[in-house]
Amino acid sequence: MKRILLVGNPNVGKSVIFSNLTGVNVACSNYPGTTVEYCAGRRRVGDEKVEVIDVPGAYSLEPTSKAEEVAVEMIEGGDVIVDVVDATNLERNLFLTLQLLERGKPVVVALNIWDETRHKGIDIDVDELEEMLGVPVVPTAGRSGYGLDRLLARLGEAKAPGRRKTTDDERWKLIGKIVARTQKLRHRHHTFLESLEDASIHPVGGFFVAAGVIALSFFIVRVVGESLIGYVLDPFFQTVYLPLVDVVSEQTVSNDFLHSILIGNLVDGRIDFLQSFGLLTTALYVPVAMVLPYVVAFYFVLGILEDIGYLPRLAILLDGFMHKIGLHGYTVIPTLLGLGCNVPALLATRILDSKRERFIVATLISIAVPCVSLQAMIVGLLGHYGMRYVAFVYAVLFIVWLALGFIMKALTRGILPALLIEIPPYRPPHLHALLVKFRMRTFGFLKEALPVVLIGVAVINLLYAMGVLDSMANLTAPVVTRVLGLPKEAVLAVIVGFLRKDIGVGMLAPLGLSVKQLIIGSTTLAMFFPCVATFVVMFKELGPADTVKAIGVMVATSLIVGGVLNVLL
Amino acid sequence: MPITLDQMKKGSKGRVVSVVGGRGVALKLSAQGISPGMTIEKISALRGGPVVLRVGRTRVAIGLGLARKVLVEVDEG
Repeated sequence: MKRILLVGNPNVGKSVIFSNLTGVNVACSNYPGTTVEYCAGRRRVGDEKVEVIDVPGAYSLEPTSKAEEVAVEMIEGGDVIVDVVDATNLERNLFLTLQLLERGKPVVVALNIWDETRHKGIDIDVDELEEMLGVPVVPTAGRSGYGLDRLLARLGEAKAPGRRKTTDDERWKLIGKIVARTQKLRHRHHTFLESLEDASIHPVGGFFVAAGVIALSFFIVRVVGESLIGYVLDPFFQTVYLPLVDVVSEQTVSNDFLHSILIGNLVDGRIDFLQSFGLLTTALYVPVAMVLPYVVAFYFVLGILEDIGYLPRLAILLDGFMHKIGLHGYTVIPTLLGLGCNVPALLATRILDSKRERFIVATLISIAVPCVSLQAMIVGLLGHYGMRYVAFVYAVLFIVWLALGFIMKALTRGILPALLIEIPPYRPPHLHALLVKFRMRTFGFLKEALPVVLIGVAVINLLYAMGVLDSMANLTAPVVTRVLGLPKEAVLAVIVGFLRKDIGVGMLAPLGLSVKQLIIGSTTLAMFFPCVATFVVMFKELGPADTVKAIGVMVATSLIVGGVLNVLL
Repeated sequence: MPITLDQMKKGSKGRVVSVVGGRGVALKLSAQGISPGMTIEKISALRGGPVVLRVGRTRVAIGLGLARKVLVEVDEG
């Protein structure tokens, strides 16, 4: 089967063209040996079946990042290359185009975002450009699908002009010539979006914009999450699902073992979804009714921020500040992802160049950036007593994040690479692409969380029945009771916290703890150890030595902070 | 007299003269259009933070450390 590769700079609408060309028959996977993701799909062109591959975005074929290395390797295996070019930014994009034309593979150029050239005051002479490049050039607009039929129709005309290899300087000179001959710019006034672009990286105004965006994001996540719980999921579990498990409970009540595994303990003779701790009760209720709503809300907001193009601006704004803790501004992006789930956050640290930086960011994320599941449970547990206690836990985690950053910067050696990023223009989000990503992330959460929770709850119940957990609790009781001031049963929560932090925090619920104990419990649990999924990714990304170091830092910090809180509060 | 990017005045334009540093640095900058002979415009700078440039029709943010490695001949007037 013929392989058609979509190649282009980041932010040129490549993925939108890809989803328009391939529809729903798409599979995304990591490139072997890397965490760089690419997607492939199939379609018909005329009578022929072809494979369409969305190659990771690249600025240059002389690779300066992992994604670009992957792009270069993939291009070697392609039959036809569709070079997706941002027509509103011809100059920068042609650098990659010229490099592609030197590779000897047949190329067609898709002059994308064509629909925006007119109101941006850009006139491009397509025929002249085609003449100068020596390959077909087709204007397209991925969002509306404009020009894609013509693009497919001209795939057969793809040519390999076999330009000789040149230096970067010569290439830029040639680009200057091409742009001067094929592009005319008309003067025009700034649009509203463009003024907003300037405001969001303004040395003063930018911080107000950032504060506003972050506050609004948290507000939306809270409102959407709480409404889904209050009006949809909790009512569903209480009125529709509860009668069903009540039946199961009655049927199995004679069999102690089965009843305790499926339903768990009855509280005042009734099922309590939060405390009963059975497979059909807590193990389903917590991930689906308490955590999923916030996951949905978080990924909805994050997807929009990503699509609009706001995140790089936040990275730029915070670059100066982040340097103080040994990181550059781009680390804001994995850190924000960590507020959703630490697993993709650690994977995203791959974009960072230095090993030192990856270690610091990964450790900071797994220790002091609570994932949305954990946050949901902290809010669920402490929120009853007042949001100020929840805010206190966040504040403690933030202080730990800052302090540890300073300490690790001082203690580790290595270069601190500088920031270098393109600031993409603001674009309205593309609904279809947004929904695809949103769906993938939400199902990803369910696929990852549900089995772990179900197996975890079953295992814990079995261990409990065998008395193993009691002896473990007795063994570690001195530390837990003296240092942290928690009852020894809280050890179970810590152990479960290794599987899933949300369930671990949930296990504090039936212990009848005071507010102080709940604060200490949830803070230490958040910091103590990565959950099993995060642990696996950390091990893969950092290697054994750094993982041991990171976990040492985590255990030590959580005990110190927990102990200090126990004395101070 | 060439100056470095961080010394440029906000709103001024200039031509890149050279990039100090290894091949990796030069390649990275070049792929963003910051290559000897190219015209750039400084849009803004955040204190202690990155310099924001207009290169062609794109905006690029360059960390302070890197900005100090790019030498520019500033246009007069």
